[in-house]
Amino acid sequence: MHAEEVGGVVRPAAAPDPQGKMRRLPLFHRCVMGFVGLFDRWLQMSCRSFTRLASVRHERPLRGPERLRHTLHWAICRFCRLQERRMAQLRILAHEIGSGLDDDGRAELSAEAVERIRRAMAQAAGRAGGGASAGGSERDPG
Amino acid sequence: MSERPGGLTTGAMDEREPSGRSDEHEDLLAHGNALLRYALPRVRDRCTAEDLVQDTLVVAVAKRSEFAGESSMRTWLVGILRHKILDHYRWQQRHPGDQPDGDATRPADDSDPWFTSLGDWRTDPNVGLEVLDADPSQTLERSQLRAALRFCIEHLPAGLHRVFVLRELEDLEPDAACEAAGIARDSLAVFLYRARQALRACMQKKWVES
Repeated sequence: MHAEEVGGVVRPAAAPDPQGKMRRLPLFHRCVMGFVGLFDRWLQMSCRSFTRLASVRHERPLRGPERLRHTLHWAICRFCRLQERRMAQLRILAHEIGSGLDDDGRAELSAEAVERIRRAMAQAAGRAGGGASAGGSERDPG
Repeated sequence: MSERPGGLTTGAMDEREPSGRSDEHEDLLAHGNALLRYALPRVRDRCTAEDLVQDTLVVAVAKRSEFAGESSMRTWLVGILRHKILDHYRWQQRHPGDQPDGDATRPADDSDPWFTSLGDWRTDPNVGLEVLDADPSQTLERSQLRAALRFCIEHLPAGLHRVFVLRELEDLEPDAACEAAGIARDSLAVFLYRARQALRACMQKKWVES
């Protein structure tokens, strides 16, 4: 498991970057965002709100003010820009899984399960045949 | 009531018959693995997936006469399985206590593990995700990506998982997805936002660590 579940929310595990690859944002970016971001904050916008809007955008078109805030933040934050593209790519990947393109040979029914299913099917066939013949014999006298 | 005796006798006849009939069902059973692969990312554990495949094939045997042959048999079976999965979700909603993470129809608390209190990213959200730029024609890389995402989807918390599957894998319209998942229309965006971020973090971790 790469993450722990707390109250239905997946939180990053306690030691998220064993090799130090998960670095903080670059200092330069943080400084620029400190100044340009004033405008951003005035619009009550942040990376978090941007990410939420970007997610909402998959469900419905954004409304006027939402779209403006989205576009402005998109223009000044390259991390959010890239992040939005990655989310779209993940979405395409999920669609591929959903549409059954995902045909690797990994998952197979166990022999035990196949046997169980075979028995259940034979039983069902018997029941279906029995129901039909019983129904027929019922109708005759009536 | 009067059908009972008839049912009993045919039931007794079955004891001898299956050997003769089993060949008939082998063509259905041949689709078993494909059905399992369809069900696995949609329900979170293998036992349930196998049970659903069994239910599907049993229904298919009983309704065989209704199969018109207009679509392929695989499509027909997947259609049945899809209904079974939706039924399973409905059952899950009625028995929320049976799931490890309790009431899954409401989003949990509002805190965010990925952002600072000011709403900035804590860490670079895109590290490790360069792999997503993989050319779709590179089938090997692509199938590795799909396997990773499938793993992450299967490990989503139950509530998020159900909503995400209905919306993204089943590709239902937002309203239909809400109805099937038993959540309010307003909370759909929150659920999906959480699920997508969780998946992103999970995929990222997979590539950063490897």
